[in-house]
Order: sequence, then C-alpha cells, then structure tokens
Amino acid sequence: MKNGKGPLSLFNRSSFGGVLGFLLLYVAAMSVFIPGFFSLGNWISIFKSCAVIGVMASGITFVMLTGNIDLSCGSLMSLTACISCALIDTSPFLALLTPLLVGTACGILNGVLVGGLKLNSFVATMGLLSVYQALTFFYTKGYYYSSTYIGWYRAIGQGEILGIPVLVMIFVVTVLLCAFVQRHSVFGARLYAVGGNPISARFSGIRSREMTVVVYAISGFCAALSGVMLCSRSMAAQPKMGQGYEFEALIAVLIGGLSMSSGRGGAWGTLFGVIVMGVLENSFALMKLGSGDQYVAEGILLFVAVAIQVISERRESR
Amino acid sequence: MKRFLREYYVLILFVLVFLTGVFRVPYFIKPGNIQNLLLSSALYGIVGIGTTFVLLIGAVDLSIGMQVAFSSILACISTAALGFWPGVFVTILAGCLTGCVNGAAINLMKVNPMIISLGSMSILRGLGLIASSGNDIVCSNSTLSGLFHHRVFGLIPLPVLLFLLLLVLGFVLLRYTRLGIGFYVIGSNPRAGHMTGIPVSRVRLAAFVLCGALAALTGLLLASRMNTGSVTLGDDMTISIISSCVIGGVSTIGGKGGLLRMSFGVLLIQTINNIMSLLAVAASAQLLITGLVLVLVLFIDRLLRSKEQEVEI
Repeated sequence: MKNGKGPLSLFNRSSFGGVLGFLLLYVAAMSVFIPGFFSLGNWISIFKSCAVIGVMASGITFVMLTGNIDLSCGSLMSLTACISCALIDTSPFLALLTPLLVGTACGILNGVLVGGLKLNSFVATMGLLSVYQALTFFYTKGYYYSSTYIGWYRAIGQGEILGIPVLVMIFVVTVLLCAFVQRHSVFGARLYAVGGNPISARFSGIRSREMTVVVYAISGFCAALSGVMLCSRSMAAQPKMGQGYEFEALIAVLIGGLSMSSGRGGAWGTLFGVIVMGVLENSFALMKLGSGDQYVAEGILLFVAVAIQVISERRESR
Repeated sequence: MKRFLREYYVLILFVLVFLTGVFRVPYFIKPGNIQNLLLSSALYGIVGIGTTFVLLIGAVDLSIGMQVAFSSILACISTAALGFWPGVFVTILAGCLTGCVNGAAINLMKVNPMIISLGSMSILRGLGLIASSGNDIVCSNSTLSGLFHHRVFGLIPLPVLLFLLLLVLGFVLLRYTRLGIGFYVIGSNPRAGHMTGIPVSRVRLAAFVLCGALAALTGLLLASRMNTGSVTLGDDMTISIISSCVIGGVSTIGGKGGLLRMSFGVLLIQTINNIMSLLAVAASAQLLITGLVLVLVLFIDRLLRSKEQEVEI
C-alpha cells in the first residue's frame, strides 16, 4: 500500500482511479446530452436517492474490510423499517431508537455466529437473511404500514435544511464518521491489519473475534439506520421493501474499489461507488431507460471496476 | 460412530422428518403429495448438481437463482418463436454461455468468484426484465407446458427420471473421470492442482459451464411447471439451492461434498416445506425454518469437526 501524502493520496490508496475516470467522462457526456442533468437541483436529487443505500453500504464496508460478507442487511432493513413505521404513532422517539437497537442486536448475533462460532460468513448471513425476513413477516403479519404523522420524524426523510435534504446530511455524516474511524483510530488500523493479513494480525495480538462482532454490529446499525431513513422517506413500510438492497449495496462497495483479499478500500471508495450507482440511475431515468437496462449497466460496470482494480494491483506488484 | 454421524446426519434428519410426516401429518403419505414432493425435489436437485460442482471448486455462485429465472423466460420466448426443440437448444446453449462467461471472467481476473457472480446476477436480472418487459411471460408452446407432468412409459415423471439420470452421470463424473477428480483437487488446493498437472483454468471453466447448463434445464422445467417465465422466480431460489447443498454437506470453501448427500439435503428441505404447506404454516415460517436449519447444520458441522482440523487464524 502506498502512503503518499497530499490531496491525491486518497486515490493512490483506494485504487478506484480508473472508474473515477469513467465517472468523470460519463458525467461530462450526460451533461452535454441531457439538458438539466448538470444542475444543482439534479445533483441534490442524485444524492438524495442514493443516501439510503449509501448508509447501508458504509456499514457493509467494515465487514468486507475484514474479508467477510454480510448478506442479511436487506432483510434487516425491511425488519427495522416495519418496526419503525409501526411505532411512529405511539412515539416517534421510540420509532427511531427501537429499530437502531434491534439492528445492532441482530448485527451482534451475525458477528457472534461468524466471529465466535467461526461459521462461514456467506452461508451464516444467508441463513440469517431468511430468519430476519421471516421475523419481518411475523411482526407485520404481511400487512403494509403507513402513517400520517406530521412532526420531526417525518423530517428525517423529507425535511431540508438550507436546501439540503436531511437524508443527504445523514449520509454525509455517516461517511465522514466511517472514514474517520477507518483512517484515524486504533480500531481502523487493526481493521486494515486483519483484512490485509489475518494471520500476521493474529500474531501481533489483534483479537479478530471481538473485531468481527464489532464490524457486524456496525453493519447492523447502519442497515437499521437506512431502514429508518427509507421508512421516513415515504412514511410507509412493507415487509419486502429491503429485498435486493444488500446486493445493490455490495455492488456499490465493490465498484468503489474494495478488495476483499487484500484489505483495500474504505469509506471514501464506498461513497464513490454509491455516487456512481446514483448517477447511473438518475441518468437512465432521465433518458427514459427501464430498470432492466440499469441492472445490465450495473453488472457490466462491476466487471469493469474489478478488472481495472486487478490490472492496477498486478502492475503494482510487478 | 462419530465419522458415520458426520457423514450422514443429514440422512438421519431426513428420515426423522419423513417419519414425522408419515405418522403425524394427514395427507402426507398420499400418492399425489409424494409425487409433488418428488417433483419439487427433482427440480431443485437438478440445479443442485450443477451448484455442487461449482461449490466443489471453491466458488459460490450468487447468480444461480437468476440463471434459472432467466432461463425460464428464455424458454417461454424461444419455444414460442422457434418451436420446441430449437427453443430447448437455445435455452441450454444460453445457460452454457452464461456459465462460460462466469468461469472465463473468474479465470481472467482471479478474484473472489462471488464478486463476479454478483455482476452476472445483475446483468441476468436486467436482461430478463428487458426480455419480459417487466412482466410474467406466459408459455404458449404446448409441448413445453406438458413437459413437467409428462410420464415416461406412463409411469415415472419426466423430471424425476431426468434427475436420477443426471445424478448417476454426475456421480460417475465425480468419481471416475479426471475432470471430476480435478474439481475436488482444485477446490481443496488450487496450487497443488496446478503442480500435479491439472489444467486448473479449464477445469474451473468446465464446472461453471456444467452448472449453467443444468440451471438452464431447471429453468426450462420450472417454466413448464409454472406455465410462466418471470424474473421473480429467482429471488428466493439462490438461497434455497445453496442452503440445500450446504445442508447436504457440500462445503462452501471447496473440495468437500458429494452428490448423494446433496440430494438428501434437497429432500430434507423440500420435505420440511411440503409438511409445512400441508399444515398450512405460513410461508414466513417456512423461511424461518430454512434459515434456522441452515445455521444449525453449519453449527453441527462445526462441532463435529472442531477438534480434528481446527485451523486457528
């Protein structure tokens, strides 16, 4: 890993330079061809539409930096969104707090299974995906929830401060916090040590079990926060609303240059991956292309991003 | 004893669940229900064989459910446009091609196969949505519609026969051919495979192509069963298929597992689902049980082999 200081060191370290180039070219082209694409209002709507997935992806980033994976985020998001929506009319405060607690608790459960019992993270979180989805159905009995509550809870998803949506603010703060923890804390340093080389990390006295539990707890918390954001955005929730979000978030993280084998990447890369997805979605909607085209483009972009990353890593190791 | 337990606890679980069904659940043992159970198991078993090949070489294919769903759409479209046999040919060929792309991308980039499969899942979902214009497609070819419930010699349901045939072929492949043994070797240690002269890249490609072909066949049968092709068919399928394989003792890190035990994993999950449907247990409870069984089996597996091969990292 290079350790250059200076404004561009970020890009050296995270190896998403190639996809960044693509994004700049794409944005330039879209600005020329689609009237109204490169306007402040549109950029705000891009950020607003990808804030929910961005928060979830920021949480998953921690898990993937340790070389594990978390597939349960999407159904955890459904669960917390439904809990949140059901509680709004009782108490908006509880509607914010309870989902976050539930999400963190579920995350800890994930972490104990993967870190403590050493189950394969892929299969274990896949099993828990089913379990959380089922719990959501039990809790909602299959019904949809909606609320007509007017107050501060609604502002989370629909409010604006100085023209900037609160959703975007939550997203930006989450990314800043994650970046700070990853780059400037002891925990972050250990995280990269485990991701880069688990065996030498163990020999240098890092407790990877406890660390695994903590990263899954963070991921669960972020999934819950994104669930609350999603619920507050539409003031409605249904038991399958988070389905598929985990894959979108994983794709965003990977487009952002995270390498599961060498422990590269981080909060900034993920932010970047999320923006790429948001720009793609927005421009496709403006060009009146369907969601099918968008899925194809995302898949191809993931291939390209991984290829660029692999090529740059090979060049570096030469 | 412990060794026997380790190898066959899935079989024991299956027998227990089956006997519970026979003695405790009304209508379970009726011929119509047993046939239904066998048909579902055959459907999942066929794609399970392909998934086992891929898991054996140490790859997890997240796109497997979407491959099945995409094939169901393609089967409906192509049989309607070209006729039955050309349509079947096109569907299977497309499945092979998908597998080929997956395998080639993994060989070229040498990254975690799951990452590649995440991309191809997205692409297949997109292509499926485009081809079906976002809706379910109805099968208009009568040969295809009748395929699933066709009985060979008026006796054995076609999907079951196909599954048994493929099971035997797969068994022979894994046990007696260089390719099959290659799956195990590169799954447990790719470098050793390379050193002993196994063409690692080609073996890996072959596993993915076989898996793609079998997924396409399953999609074809699924389209015939449902009389529709739809992207949504694939949503929960990836989880069901991989769960069945893992419950059947196939390791997700490669090199361990067999087709017979995988079949018992499929049978176990399908029997549990069947019993719960008969008892009118909600679909959500079925999800819960599948998830819990998966975690439980992982845990048992962990306990049974914890002492001997603990590699502490």
